[in-house]
Amino acid sequence: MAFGACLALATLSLTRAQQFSEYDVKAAFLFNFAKFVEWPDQGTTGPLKLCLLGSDPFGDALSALEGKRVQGRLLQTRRDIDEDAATSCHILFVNELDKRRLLNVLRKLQHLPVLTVSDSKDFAEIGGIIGFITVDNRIQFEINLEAAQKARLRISSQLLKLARLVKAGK
Amino acid sequence: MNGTLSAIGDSVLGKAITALVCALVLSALSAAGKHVAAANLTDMSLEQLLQIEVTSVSKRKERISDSPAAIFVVTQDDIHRMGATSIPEALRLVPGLQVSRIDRSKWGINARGFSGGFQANKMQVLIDGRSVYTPLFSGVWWDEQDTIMEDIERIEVIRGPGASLWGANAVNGVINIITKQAGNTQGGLLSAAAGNEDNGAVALRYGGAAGKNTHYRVYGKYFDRDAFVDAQGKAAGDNWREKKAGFRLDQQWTADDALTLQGEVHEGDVGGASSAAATLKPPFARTVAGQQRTESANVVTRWKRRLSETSDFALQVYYDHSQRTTPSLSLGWTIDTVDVDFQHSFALGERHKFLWGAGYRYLQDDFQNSFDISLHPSQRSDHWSNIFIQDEINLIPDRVRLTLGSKFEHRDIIGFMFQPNARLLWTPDDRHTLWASVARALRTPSWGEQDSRFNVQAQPGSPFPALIFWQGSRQTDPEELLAYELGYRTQVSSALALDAALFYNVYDKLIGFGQLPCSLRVTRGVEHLDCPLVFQNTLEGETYGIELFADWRLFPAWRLLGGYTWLKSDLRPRQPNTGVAGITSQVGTDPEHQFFLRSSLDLPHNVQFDVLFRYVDALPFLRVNAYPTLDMRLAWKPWKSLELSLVGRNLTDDHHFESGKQTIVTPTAIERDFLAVVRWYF
Repeated sequence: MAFGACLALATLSLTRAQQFSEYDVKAAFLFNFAKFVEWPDQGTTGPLKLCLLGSDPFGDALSALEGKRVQGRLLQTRRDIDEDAATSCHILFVNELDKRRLLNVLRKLQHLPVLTVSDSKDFAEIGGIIGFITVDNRIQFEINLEAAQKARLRISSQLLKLARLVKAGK
Repeated sequence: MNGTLSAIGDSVLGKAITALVCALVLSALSAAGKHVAAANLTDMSLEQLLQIEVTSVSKRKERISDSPAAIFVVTQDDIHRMGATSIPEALRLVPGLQVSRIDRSKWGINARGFSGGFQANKMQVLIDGRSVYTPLFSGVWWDEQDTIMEDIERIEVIRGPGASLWGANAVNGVINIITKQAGNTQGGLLSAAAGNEDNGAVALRYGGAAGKNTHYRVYGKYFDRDAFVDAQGKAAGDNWREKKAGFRLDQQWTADDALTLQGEVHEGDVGGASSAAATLKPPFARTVAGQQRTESANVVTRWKRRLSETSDFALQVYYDHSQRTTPSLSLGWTIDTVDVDFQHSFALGERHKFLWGAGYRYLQDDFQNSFDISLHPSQRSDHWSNIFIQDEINLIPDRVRLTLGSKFEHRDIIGFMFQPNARLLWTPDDRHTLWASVARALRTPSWGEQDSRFNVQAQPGSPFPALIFWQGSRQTDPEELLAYELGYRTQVSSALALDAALFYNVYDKLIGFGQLPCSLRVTRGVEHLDCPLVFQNTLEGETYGIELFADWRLFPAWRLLGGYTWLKSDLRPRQPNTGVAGITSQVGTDPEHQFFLRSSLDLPHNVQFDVLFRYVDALPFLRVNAYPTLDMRLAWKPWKSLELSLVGRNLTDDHHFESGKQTIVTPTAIERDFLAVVRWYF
């Protein structure tokens, strides 16, 4: 009996449930963003830094990206960074800062080539570059092109055509 | 089965070994499985990723971790997965809330005590910003509070006082039911259900867009629910039929302005078990049917505007009409409400975040008096007005935050009320949150407690029979609460979150009864003694308790949630020999222990399996025994647009009571119930 129950559970944990956890999917999006954005230091061979500012909602999903290759560069993930260290990141996921702190970070980074991504409310509207939104349990994203241009990032049309474009609302 | 295996399996040591091996295998597999899933995801194209459905995880709870109050959120996913067919059923998922079903359509719901009876009266309940507790007895007619369950976005429940923001009646808690924006309910939904206790339920919704920035939905709902049984196991006559139709319109008017207009009409035939009513001639009691008829309509409009990055305001106006008749008592009333609310938030400097607002409510009732229950005067209108202010002070940015605030309220007859609170939040790091609060809240006497006459019981006597009745009094003061709370939340790992709250509530001026001398009177030609029990502030006391909650995602596909509540109350007359203690509905109506365990499992081939086990301790005053109960749901989604599910509720016994004998309503026994549900999205 006990073995039977054990086996049932094992099968269960192996079979991939149709629904994914939100942050596993968001991590996969981050990986895809890395493919479709050009940084000014394109052509160099140094690692592509993916950083996390704020608490970690990803669990193992972010670590799973560590060491993957994107555009010929090694993906490096960094957690527990502070706002100053954020300036040297290529992609910065910002999690759960209060709005004022969020605005400070964005102001600080606005002319630096850092692709800011977050699921905070109205992130792209307040000056972030890519904002995740959830519609009917599906993850969609908004892009603020103006902010991307300020940061000297070129976003591929493949990414743009799937995004909702938003303007900074001041 | 293999002999050796079962031999090992049967010994205690064998069981331990099996368990250990099992755990090891499972943890290895789950780790492997997790990486497989994540790796697969990164191989997907953007287009594929956009189509993936995700389970909503702790995102909202992380925001909640910033809240210095005992707050809990029931998500649409929770409601859906438990197959809840009404709002009270969804509230069973909230730790620390006492939900007792009185009959088919009536519930007693309260946090932190005073819950067991129909007159659970210390909660503020709002649906999309519209307050739905009745001024008549300060409780909620849960049979009127309904909508398309699939269109509820979330239900936020705050245990503990919320009066500094929500005003009087938000004494023991606030329940905030929030429906989805029209933009999130696009397309069609048809939901149909039937079962051994449900003769049929249909809900139909269609959402569309009118231009780029305007979305709408229209919906209708109908159900016919079968009666439960009485103590003898016979149908109790509490059948429940409802018709409901409504709409919601959301418009992003400009980049900064959002407008909402929503409305609903409702009609219900609400059955009820018959109860005894007083009569002045032998045998001094008569049996009256419990049937009621309800009609209601409301319209709500809201304007939200963003003034700057750190400032916004909201203006809301609503109108609500409700009426209810009880033919067997020749009783009926209509209540009309107009409410205007304004809120403005803004940051001041680096450290202060202000929220202030003002509100006004006009209420009017028209009561059709009967022999049994009457209001004097039978028509009244009330003006309630309030202002509130709150300051959130970042004492140490991101670490220590102090919230100070108060509501100042004025009501007719009662006068001014002052309901302040102070809350301190400390987040030593990203994983731990500690909070503490002191708050004052008031419950204003209901119209019933101020103006009613209710003939409870007649007794034979010589030379005259005696008629005992409840009598309202406008001298009654608001009930007062001073609440002390402590809370702790921790995110142990990305898979495990824990939440604990402690409270100590000190009540004064609780409304009970005072006895006045009898007088001789003639009613309907019969001479009798008229013996009043007057609503008075006769009681005081303390309640205290612990509320624990854990949310554990063992595997990506398996989530366990558990809650335990311990609740004690010590209430007594304020002056010895004044309170008629035995009659008050406020003592001994709560379970001392409450426990639930919920398992939420995703199986292969789009199958979901959910189980909810609950244990509720006895309610001594209501003579309700402790009961365990079990609900289950099995759902299968063969296509994205179609879901089939089977729901079984109260599976552990044929029927049981969750509430006991009380005045006005006769409880019925909740039966075991099976329900088949089809959901089609088009």
